[in-house]
Amino acid sequence: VISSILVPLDGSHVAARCVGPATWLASKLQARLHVLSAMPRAMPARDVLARLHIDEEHWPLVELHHAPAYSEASIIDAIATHGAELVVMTARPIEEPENAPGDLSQLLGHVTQAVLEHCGVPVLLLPPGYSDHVPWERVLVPLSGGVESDDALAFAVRLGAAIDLTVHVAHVAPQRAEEDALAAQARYSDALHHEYRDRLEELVLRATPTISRDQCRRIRSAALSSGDVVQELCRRIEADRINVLVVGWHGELASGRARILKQLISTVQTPVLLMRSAARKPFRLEVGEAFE
Amino acid sequence: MNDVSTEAAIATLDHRVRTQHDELLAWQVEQTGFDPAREHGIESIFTVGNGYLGIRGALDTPMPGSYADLFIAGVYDRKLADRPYSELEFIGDDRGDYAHTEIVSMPFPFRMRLTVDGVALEPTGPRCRAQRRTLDLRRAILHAYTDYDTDVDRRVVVRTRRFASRADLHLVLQEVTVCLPNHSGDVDLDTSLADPDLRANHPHLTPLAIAAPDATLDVHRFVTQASGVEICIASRTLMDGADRAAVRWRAAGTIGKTLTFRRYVAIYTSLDTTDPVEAATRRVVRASWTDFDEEVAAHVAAWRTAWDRADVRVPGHPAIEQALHFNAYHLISAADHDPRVSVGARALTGRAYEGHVFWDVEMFKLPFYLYTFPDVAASLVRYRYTTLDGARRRARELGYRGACYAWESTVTGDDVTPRSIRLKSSGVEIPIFTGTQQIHVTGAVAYALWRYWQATRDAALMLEAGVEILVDTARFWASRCTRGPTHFHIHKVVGPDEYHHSVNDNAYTNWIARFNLERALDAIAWLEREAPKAWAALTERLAIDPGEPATWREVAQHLYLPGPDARGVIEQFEGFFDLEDYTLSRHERFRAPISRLFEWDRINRMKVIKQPDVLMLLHVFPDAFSPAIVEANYRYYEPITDHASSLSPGIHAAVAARIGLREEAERYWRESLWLDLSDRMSNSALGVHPACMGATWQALVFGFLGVRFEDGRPVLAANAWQPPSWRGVSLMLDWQDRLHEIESSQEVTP
Repeated sequence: VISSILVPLDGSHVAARCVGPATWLASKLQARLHVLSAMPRAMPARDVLARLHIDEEHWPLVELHHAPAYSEASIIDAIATHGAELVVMTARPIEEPENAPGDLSQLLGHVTQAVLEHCGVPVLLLPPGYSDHVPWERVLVPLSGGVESDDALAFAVRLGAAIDLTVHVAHVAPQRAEEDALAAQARYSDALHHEYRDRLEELVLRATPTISRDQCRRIRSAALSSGDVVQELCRRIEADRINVLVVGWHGELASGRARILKQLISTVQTPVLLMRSAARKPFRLEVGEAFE
Repeated sequence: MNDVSTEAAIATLDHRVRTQHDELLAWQVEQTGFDPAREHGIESIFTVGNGYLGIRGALDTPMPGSYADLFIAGVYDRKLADRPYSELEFIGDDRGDYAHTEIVSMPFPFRMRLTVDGVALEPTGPRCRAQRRTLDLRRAILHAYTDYDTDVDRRVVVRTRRFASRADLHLVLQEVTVCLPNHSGDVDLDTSLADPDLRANHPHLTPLAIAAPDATLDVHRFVTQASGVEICIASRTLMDGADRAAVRWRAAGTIGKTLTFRRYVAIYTSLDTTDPVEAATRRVVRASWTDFDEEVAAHVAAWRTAWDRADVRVPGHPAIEQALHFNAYHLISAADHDPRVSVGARALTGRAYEGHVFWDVEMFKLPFYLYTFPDVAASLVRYRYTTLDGARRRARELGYRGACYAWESTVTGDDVTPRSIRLKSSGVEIPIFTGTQQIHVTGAVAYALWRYWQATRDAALMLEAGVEILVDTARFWASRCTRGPTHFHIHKVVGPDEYHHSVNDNAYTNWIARFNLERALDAIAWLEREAPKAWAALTERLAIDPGEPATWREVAQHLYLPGPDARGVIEQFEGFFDLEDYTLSRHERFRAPISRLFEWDRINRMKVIKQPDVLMLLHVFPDAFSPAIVEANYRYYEPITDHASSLSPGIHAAVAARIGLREEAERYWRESLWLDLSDRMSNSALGVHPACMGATWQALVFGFLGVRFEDGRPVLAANAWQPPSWRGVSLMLDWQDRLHEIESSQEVTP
């Protein structure tokens, strides 16, 4: 699934928190761990490894690299140079959760935000409220029915198969504030479960056609609920004792975009693995009068 | 050349280019790119088949979650848990020990794995840069083109074509070409049909050993677990220029050169022969490289013959022609001449409805076959004779005489309708009343038989099977009807609508029952007159009491037939007008909430219907009702129909066209025409909807064109109509052993 992981460090103790989960993942996946260190001067490798608290048994997995500056460009460049298939980064911790800044860029820092938006590989983001959870056992994928979340589920299942994680799926149907009279009349006691458009079984099946049946057995639960998406996902994280969230997204954090994702990152304690869909070859079935 | 002649030449050229373009579009369905979420539906529409078998249009290297199935008509097995019923979400209940409950999905016979220099080529993988699949409807051949980059500047182009031979129903063929345009490398092609996940994908099958296997062939032998049908699939692959066959090939791919492989697959079961392995291996073992071209030619010729009868042309409208051809392609691919089998609800294109046969064969699909391929229609009629004993058993089980056809049947005629279905997500069970109450299927059998008789005058079939079917179905109705003070009544039924159960005097059911009784009387009168010895023999064999026909006549004459009220509206069943009103919102049409089924008891009390019921009555008895009555009923029932069945829009189009509601007719017809190609109901993943295709054809022929059969030939109605943008429409209809051309043209409305 992943053979090369990149951890960019700016020398701060906050960024260094990435090393723990990255090392654990690298050891489980037998992947190369590329540590890109942007310190003022290069240090001896042994000192760096010791300073990062990497156990000696994992040293063979690690490659150290020095970058002259901690920047989006140096990180993107390192992703390409080392063939990284996952980047591990962190958000700044919130000292007082109730004072969490509304603007995500204040949480992430502009370099992390830029990497999230511009690199094509998955990013494991440690949220401001992160607390160490390795080893991971359970992963949660919020499934929306969109292409991004389909790809996230496929990735999570493959990752789960590779490092022995169970996969949990949650579909949260947002509450509709205004329901017209006709729709209200047509609603039934458990309409949520039975409306065609909310059918979870189909959502999961449609999301996983490229996954083998063996791998699909990793999916242990698929929960359906309605309400506030972030609250419902947090409830599931707690109920299922989730260690990591895998979230598909479109790749834009600008104002007004990725509202739920921003709330999630501000709220959860589990790492969030952000997946962007690879560009698809456009699908077209040449039928109907549009093709005449 | 002067200006005028230049303009004329350009116009001629333009016209020629336009015509070529239209022809191309009208005869192919092409998909480019790849969307995993659409793939199951695409597999359904790209199915290749020949009535004996159907093979879904999965990729040559199927993705792991593909429904890459081969289905063989008539091969069923015991119901297995977790296989879907009508939708992925619905699971049918266990139906005991009956060994023919569920159609068997078999391994995909076009499976291949291709690598170049050790790099696996997967159409769904990241190395695939372009992909295209094209279903050639005229020749019934599915083509695929895939373009890969195995590394920087190392391109591989793979082309395949496949088909299920119409000339030899047991033969399927595949050709694979591999071209390395800009490099040379080792090409490995593995054509083994071994499914890596056989137990999960094809759980009805137990693999059997092959005695003395031939290493150059890939032979797989299975037996179904309960029904005990043995199946053999034998595959033989040749490479251009090689003097032997092999299952796994390694060849040196040279820059710019093409490697070509040809595969013959023969498929036999113990229903065809006592030794399927011998038959399948014999069919492929001597096939030579050049035989392939002859097989292609024979297959194409057979399809050309079919299209000579089934083609429908709407000049200037290639997209409409494309959809009509697509529908006819699937109907032609769905049926052949084996009277032991009929056409399931999704034919041989998917797992939905467990491969069961319903009333839609007779009322929706059969008219297409009857007026296009009457020999195939004969086979479908004979299926009801093959399963007549099952219908007799069914009548006895229900406490009646004669023959009551099962609402859902497979090969013996025994009823396989689930008693309930379970929703996977919640485990909630929904009772199904259709198995015991939707008895109008019996009338449908009689109705289709009589239409067949009118269209063909096939005395042999009537003598051998037809009269017997009509006698025993009439006996059923006579015992099923209840005598009242003034009339006979039929209680506790489900009509075509299906949302209302346990109703009395459903208009459609009563009318079709009366038709059945009357035609039984006509049939025995004919037999007595034309073949008195045969009549005497039948009387003895079926123990027909001399007074029995009089009973049928009495029931027919006094059977209660709900008539039009003051508004001209026929009540669908007793008490329908008193049900609670229900306002149907626009978004519920065609995608009705599943709660319609879940809250079945509540729906039973409401005025909302799933599909035409009274309108179906008006459709099948077009001469029995005046246009005013038809219009009154259309105006009443159309707004309360949610079209949760694919059977619905075609019949609405036909009825609307007859009464001059042309915009509505065209709108419904388009819904029906493109139902599968647009995946209108979001459920084509489990198979296409051949009954909807048949309804579309009926709406065009009997609705728009108003075709009637008079004076030994089909004639257009005086008010024959077609959408205003059409210049004309032409098609062929078979009537009493002659093929007639039907053509209608008009000035195009700008």
